[in-house]
This record gives sequence, C-alpha cells and structure tokens, in this order.
Amino acid sequence: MRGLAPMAVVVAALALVPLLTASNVVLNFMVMALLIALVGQGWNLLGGYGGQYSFGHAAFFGTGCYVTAILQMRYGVNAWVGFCIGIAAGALVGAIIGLLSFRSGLRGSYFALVTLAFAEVLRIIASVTPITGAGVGTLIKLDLRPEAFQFQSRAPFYWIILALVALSLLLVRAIEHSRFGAYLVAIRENEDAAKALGVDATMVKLSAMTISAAITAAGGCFYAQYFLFIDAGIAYGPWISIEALLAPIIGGIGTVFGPLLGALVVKTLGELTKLVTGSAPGLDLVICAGTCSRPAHRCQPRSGVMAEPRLRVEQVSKRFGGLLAVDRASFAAEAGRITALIGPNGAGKTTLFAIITGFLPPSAGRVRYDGADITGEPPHRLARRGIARTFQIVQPFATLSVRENIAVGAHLSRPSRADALAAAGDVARTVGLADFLDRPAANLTVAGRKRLELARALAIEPRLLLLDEVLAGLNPSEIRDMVPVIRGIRDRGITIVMIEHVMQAVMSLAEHVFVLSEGRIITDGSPQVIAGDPRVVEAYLGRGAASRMLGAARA
Amino acid sequence: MLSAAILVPAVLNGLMTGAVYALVALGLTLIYGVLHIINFAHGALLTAAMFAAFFAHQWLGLDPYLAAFALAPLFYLLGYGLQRFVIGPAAHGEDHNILLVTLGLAVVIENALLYAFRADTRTLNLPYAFKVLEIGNAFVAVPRVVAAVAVVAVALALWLILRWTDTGKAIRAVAKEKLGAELSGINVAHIYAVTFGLGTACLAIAACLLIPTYYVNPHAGNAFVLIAFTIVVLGGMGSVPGALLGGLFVGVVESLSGFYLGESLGQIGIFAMFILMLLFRPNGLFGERA
Amino acid sequence: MPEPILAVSGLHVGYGATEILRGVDLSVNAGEIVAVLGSNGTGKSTLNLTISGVTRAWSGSIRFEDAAIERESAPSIVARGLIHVPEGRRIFPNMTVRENLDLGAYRRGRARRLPNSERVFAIFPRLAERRHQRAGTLSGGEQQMLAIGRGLMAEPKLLILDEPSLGLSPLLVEELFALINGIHAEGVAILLVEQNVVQSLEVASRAYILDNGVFVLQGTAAEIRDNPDLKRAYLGM
Repeated sequence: MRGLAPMAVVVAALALVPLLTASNVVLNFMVMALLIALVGQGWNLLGGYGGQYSFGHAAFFGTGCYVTAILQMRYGVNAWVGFCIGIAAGALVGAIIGLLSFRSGLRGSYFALVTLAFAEVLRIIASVTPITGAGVGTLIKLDLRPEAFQFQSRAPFYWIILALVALSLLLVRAIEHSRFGAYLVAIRENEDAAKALGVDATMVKLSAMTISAAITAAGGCFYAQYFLFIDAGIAYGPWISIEALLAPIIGGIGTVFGPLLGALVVKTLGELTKLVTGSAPGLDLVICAGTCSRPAHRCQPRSGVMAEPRLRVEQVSKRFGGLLAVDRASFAAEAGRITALIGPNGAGKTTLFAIITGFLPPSAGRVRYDGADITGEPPHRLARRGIARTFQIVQPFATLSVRENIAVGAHLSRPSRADALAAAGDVARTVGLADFLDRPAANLTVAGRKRLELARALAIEPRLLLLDEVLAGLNPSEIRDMVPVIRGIRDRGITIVMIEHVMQAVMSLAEHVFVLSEGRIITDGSPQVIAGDPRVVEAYLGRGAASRMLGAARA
Repeated sequence: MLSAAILVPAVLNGLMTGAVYALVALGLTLIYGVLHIINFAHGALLTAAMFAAFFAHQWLGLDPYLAAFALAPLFYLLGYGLQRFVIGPAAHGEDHNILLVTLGLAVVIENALLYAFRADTRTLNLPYAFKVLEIGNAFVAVPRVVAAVAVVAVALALWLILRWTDTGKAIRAVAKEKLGAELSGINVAHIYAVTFGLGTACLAIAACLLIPTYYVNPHAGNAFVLIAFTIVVLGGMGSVPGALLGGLFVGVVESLSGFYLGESLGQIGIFAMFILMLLFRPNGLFGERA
Repeated sequence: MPEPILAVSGLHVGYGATEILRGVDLSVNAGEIVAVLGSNGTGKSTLNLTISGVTRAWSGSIRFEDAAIERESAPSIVARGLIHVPEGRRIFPNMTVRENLDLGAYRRGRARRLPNSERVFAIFPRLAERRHQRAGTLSGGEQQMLAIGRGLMAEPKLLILDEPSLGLSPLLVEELFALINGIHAEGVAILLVEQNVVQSLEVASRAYILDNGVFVLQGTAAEIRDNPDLKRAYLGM
C-alpha cells in the first residue's frame, strides 16, 4: 500500500509534539489546527472530491457541539457515548439537508446558498430555544476525569484529535481508491455523463454529504469537550463554515493531505495577522482563489449504450409550452443493425434522444426496450439495463486520465478499482486509444475525444448504443477512420441508433434510415431509397446534396 | 386579531420595509443576471455603505437623504473598481473561484470595518425619524414613506436605463451572450464593472434610506443579505420586476409573521421560505432558467 | 501588388499548457474570399478568435490594413472593420431582431444604423418579416442569417465567417453559399473557415488546410479542387 507510508510518518511525527514541548500555547495552537484539519477534511470530501461547495458546514459542527453538550448536561449521558451520538446526529442532519438539496437537483451557487440558509436557520433556532440555553449558551460542567472526556493536561486532547484526523485521512484515502470515489469525482467533472454511465448521482452525493457531515460533527463534539462552552454563534456561526472550506482550498482541494496542510497554514497566518491587527482571514481566500484555480473542464462523455435486440419508440410526443417538438414519432431499431435518424436542424432529433435516454420525460407515448416499457426511467437505470448514449458536445472527465475516464463506465459491473482499470485498458484498445491510456483526457484531439466517448459507453457493456452526432466536427479522413470502428461495434452484436448530419457516414453505415422533420417521422427506408424520395429531397436534402449522396453511394 | 386596524398598518409597514429590501435585492439580481455570479460580498458592501452614510452625517453634517446623491456615484465607482480590478481578474471566470473571491471580499470588508470602528452599535438621531404620516387609519413613519417612494424612483430609473440606453442594451446583451457581445465591439469587462457598480450604487441608496431608522454595526448588512437572497430567488434570479415584487411580498410576510409570532421567529419564516423556494422553485416566480 | 488586408505571420496560440496553433502564416487580399479548411480541434476557431482579439496570441504578428493588431482588444479590432461572425450564431436571444442588428453597430457604423439595417433586411427578407420578434424564437437558419446580418451592420472591410454551415440542413447550406457570393460581390473580403470542403472550394479563390495547428497545404482553390492526390491525402476524399 503505497500511500500509507507517508501518512504513517506524518502522523507519527505529529504525535511527538506533546513530548517535545510543554507549552500550552503551542499545544492549543496545534489542537485548533488539527480541529480545523478534521473539519476541513469533512468539507473536502464533499467539496473537493465531489465538487459540491457547501457554505454551511457549521450546521454539522454545531449539531455535534450541542448534541454532545446537551446529552451530558441534561440527560446525564456519558461523554464518550454522547460523542458518538453527536457524530450520528451530525450525519443525520447532513443526510436530511443532502436529501432535500440533491433530490431537488441543486448545484453550484444554489447549493451553496441553501447550505448557508440551513446553517443560519439552525443558528437562529439555537439562539432562542431553551434547550440550548438560548442566548446564554451551554456550559459543560468541569469534571477532569477521562471517563468524562476531560483531562488535566492538553496532551490527551491532542492525541485524540490527532487520532481523529488520522482516521479521516485513512477514510478519504480509502474512498479515493474505491468505486465510490471514482463515481464521486466523475460527478464532479460531469454529472450528466456520469449518470449515463450508470452512476446514481443523487445517492452518491447524498452518501458523500452524510460522511462529510459525520466527520465535521466529530470536530464539533470534540470542540465542546475541549472548550466546555458553546453558544449559537460559536456552534453554528459562519466562522466555522469559512474555516472548513479555507483549509482544503489553501492546502490542496480534492487531495488527502490538503486540509491538514491548509489548516496549518491558515492557523499560522491567523496567528501572524493577529499580532499585527485584529484578524483578517478573508485575505487568504481572495489571494488563494486567484492563484489556486483548478482548470474547470467540463467533460460530457457520451457513452453509446448497446441496444437491446430491439428498441421501439411508440407515438412519442413532447411538448414544451406551446411548442410541439416531437409529434407522435414512432420507429424501431432492429437488433444488431445500425439505424440512422436524420432530419433538418430543429426537427426534434436531440429531444427524441433525450426522451429515449431518460433525460427528458415524454408528454405522450412509450419507449420499449426488448419489449419492456422503459419510458421515463432515469439514465442510470437505463445504463444498468444496457443502454448507453454519447452526447453531442463531447467533454471527457477532464482532470482524469483516459483510462480513468473509461473505468467510470467499467465500474458498472466491476466494484473493484483494479478490475475496472484493467477492463478500461481493453476497451481502449478496441477503439484505438491504447497509446493514450495514461494521458489526461483533456489533451485529446476532437477525434480522440469522440473515441473516448465511444470507449466510455462501451465500457458499460451495453446492448444498445445511441450515438448523437458522433461524427460532427471530424474532417473527412477522421470520418473515414471512425466508420470501421462503428461498424466493428455493430459486428460484435451491439445495436446502434445514430443521429447524423454527415451524409457520407449515413450512406456507408446505416442499414435503415428514419427521417424526422418538424417533429414527425415523414418516411423511412434504406439510405438509397431515402435519398431519392422527393419529400425528403425537398424538405431537407436540397437538390445538390441529394445527387452528391447518390454519387458517393455508388462509388 | 385580524381587524383592519391592526392588519392595515402591519401590511403598510411591511410594504415600506419591503421596498428597501427590494432595493437591496435589485442590486443582487442585476449582478446575478448579467455577471452570473452570486455576490456573497453584497451584505458587507451594504454595511460599508451604512457606515459611510452614518459618518457623512457625523462628520459632514449631511442628511442621509442628501448624502445619497453623493454616496450613490461614489459607491458606483467603488463597485466598478472592485469588479474591474479585483473580482474579475482574481476569478478567471471560474464559477467556484468567483464564489470564493466574493466570500473572501466579504470577510475582508467586515474585518476591516471591525478593526476601524469596533463592534459598537451606533444609531443616528434625526429629528424627523419619528415623525408619522397618517394614511387612512394607519400611522406610518415618514422615513419609511420616503424610502418607498425613493425605491420606486430608482427602480424606474434602472428600467429606463436598461431598456432605452445603448449601455443598457449592451448590459442586456452581455447577460445572455457574452461572446456575441464581445464580437459586436462591446467591452465586456467594462459592462460587467458598470453592472456591478450599479448594484453597489443601489446599496448606497438603500443604506441612506435605512440609516434614519436602523442601527449600524459591522454585521448590520448581513441581516439583509439572506433576506435579499430570498427575494432574488423568489422573484427569479436576474428579474428586476421579480426583485421588486418579491421584496414587497417578503416585507409583508415578515411584518405579519413578526407581528403574530414574535421577532426572531419571523426571521425563521423567511429562511424557511427561502429554503423551500430553492428546493422546489429555484426559477422563482418570474425568473429565467437557473 | 497591393498589401494584403490581413497578414498573419508566425502565430503561436494555446490555452494553459496546450499549444493549439504552432506557427501559422496566412494572408487575405482586399475583396478576396479565402477558405480555411480542417476539422475541429485543429485550431480553426482558435485562429479566428485570435485574429478578432478575443484570445491573445503567445507570439507572432497580425496586421490588418498594415496596422499591428495582435495586442489590441476585440472592441477596437471591431472598430477597424474586422468583423468576426462566430461559430454557433451567438445572437442575443432576449432581444428583438432589430435590436440585435443595432447592437452589431455598437462600435462601428452607429451613425448609419438605420440605412444599414434596411439593407440587411433587403438581403434577408425573412428577417424583415420578423424584425420585432425575439431572436431566441427564430429557427437555426434564421439565427444564422441574423448573425451574419449583425456582422454586416458594422460595415466590415473583412468578414470572418466561422463555420456558418454547421448544423444547417443541406438546403440552407446552399442558400448560405449563395449569400456569401453576394456579400463578396459588394467588395467585402471574406475569410471563410469551414468544414464543408466542396462548397467552400467553389466560392473561394484561395484556400489553406489546417491540420494539428499548422497549415499543411495552401494554394488556389482550383489547385486543391483539381488535384486528386492532394485531396485524398488531406481531405479524405
């Protein structure tokens, strides 16, 4: 286990601190630094790895503080037991807020706002309800016995917080190397693409939030025991929400050691500025944001889903307000064949695709897969049935390597990280990306990214693959190279449905073509027949292009 | 309990308070609608404006309503400068960075005010602060009436600017299509800064309208910020009429619930509404897609 | 031989650590149509955005009408009459067709906004019918027309058209190329950046082929059109 050695060294070194100094000032400083590191690690899991920035982590910290204190003081519960219950309570609060937020699809600034609001609500409640001591706060009675989680000197406190930090490091590292971690990062990079690869985004985010809350709550429980006094402003105040995010951002967001490093830096800076002025922690945020910007590539890989032997779209309609985007469209894709869907821009092809792949519910009609009704099923469940899709605008999970990108798809049937990474290598070979496996996906050319889309989709081992303009943006020689790859996928028994504008490809690949115009399927047939159909020619092909198409088909 | 004699003043007062909330929210929604950033520094900037209004009276003897005419352009320039030279460059246009930069700015401004003016709460004692006007059966404080009228005037002025001036059209263009605007010859960085400046100018005016009846301390602005966020979400991010109507609505809700439930719980009512809006209708009642 | 209206030399452009354009030389003469062909990812859009001042080059020179513009901002380049109609239309959806056109003259040609918008409506009768309609409700083809019309409002001396045929049905593409000829007939120089090889070579007098950040081929359209080896090697035809 590679990463464990440095971790052990760091923790061991830190454990020596109380043996090297008897100064209470230093110990206090270190205890606070480790506390912030713990709270920051909690934030880091959700914000750094998961990409969901919370501005209200105080909600969990404060819950830990108060539950521990109140259980001890009002109900005589043992301090250590109270500590554990406090962590559970914090986790519960996290789960509730997470459930509400993620079920509603809140992301980005909106998510930050709602977490801020929740923390504020808790703060106000805590400052008025009698059980928390209202404005006066809550005191934990002095009782310097280990059984009561209080100690004569600071050293035991220090070792306890250090142990908690060490546990959090191990936990985050374990997550980093697991399927859960891969899914979490995939969601951060591109949630829609992750969903299309079978990731239940809501559950993953919710789990991350719950664990994050538990870690942060542990910090709160500790705080209450260490300082023995809390009030609404201390427990639920913005100060702790800010510290929670400052530490990982400064120390390295989305890394195991980031929060620890950042906490030490922040605390040190804090002490230094306190010497000069009151305190100005905010300066760090401004500077840091300026220098620590991560390249935020948004990758939307599209995986093709292998189609079942048959896909049947029955009288599907979609209405957006007054606009009927899709009007009773019906078509079927035969198993093991390549079916193309063509039509002018705005004809409704992408809308239809979104309906079939679960990103949009239809206003009417059914979608059947091997006879089973899959209408309205969410993307991740369709992926598990064996339906994959690619997205029109190609964006891989940018900060991950090609292999890691494909592995996200491979994880669908492989819980083990090692298996998924190995399988990813195999898939990469089938699309010709073997030479790029360990390069960052962001460095691929457009043609490479299109292949990565395909690879990611193939990694979930689909039976139905839906390609959304997979050839758009490629030059003629790249198209020529891509055609056999697509044919090869079909030859392995995977059913393909493709939207295309590139007529050259439609002519050479498709076995059956459906034409969509103004939301309606106006005709279907073999590519040659379609090219000669006067309705199609008039509405869509234009006379010049039609003869070029026929010329190419004969060539 | 529901008699008109009690309800009407409560509602009227709510509308007046709501008007000022609306002005604060107006700046926020404008900034969001154009720059697509949630300005977490809004509260701190309001606090700074309130201090400015306070000291304009203490040191220069300027009546707040007059000070508004000086502070509005001053804070416009401040906002312009902050966006043009601090927020814009530091953020590199990344969403996450912008969140952090505005948050950092808020902390810096608050701490600076704390350091300069300590945590004491101060109030202005103005002769007309307690004058009342009789409207029908209700007595309404004069400063509140002035505030409401001023807010309507400001909102109207903003609407006219956005609708009819070339800069206003450029602002609306940049809000929706930044690259297209740039290639049409619009200086986007400048437009962003102008918009931010307009937002802070609104704050300066709001501060001057608040100061006669409200206290000032380094945390005063925060109370308004979450309320302003609530209004912005309620009325729809980026919608000016939404901010106005939302402000009035929230003002009335706060007044009524504070009346029936007590002060502190009135506040919770607003946040609860905020959370519910975010969860179920983040587009708000008038808003554009989130 | 008059100076070219646009002269690009030794251009290196990239994002972050990735170099996209690795030393590019290009020229457009007054009143000419020049085509730049190649697929996405080879740098075509980067080239356009750098010439129009949205992106800053790492090194190299760009001269427009014999003035160095590589350090100038996008608005001041617009003021000179170098107009870039971007890929993907990029019109203002919340404003009417008329307001969109007016904004095209924000920096250049403002005084002649009214007569110029009438000229645009004469060229695009479909836009004239919809002058008070919100641009966001127009179809893809109409939005493309509006984008080009907005570009024309600035009285361009050189018009850069970035993939105008992308996403248009073959029928509309034919109309588009007829339009390009029409604009050219008025004396405007055009830099046409496209993936649509056949029709681009029909309207252009010269062409460059961009591959992986460098021009691998350049010449008259006729040379490229008629040489089967060249076409096979670089265009896959």
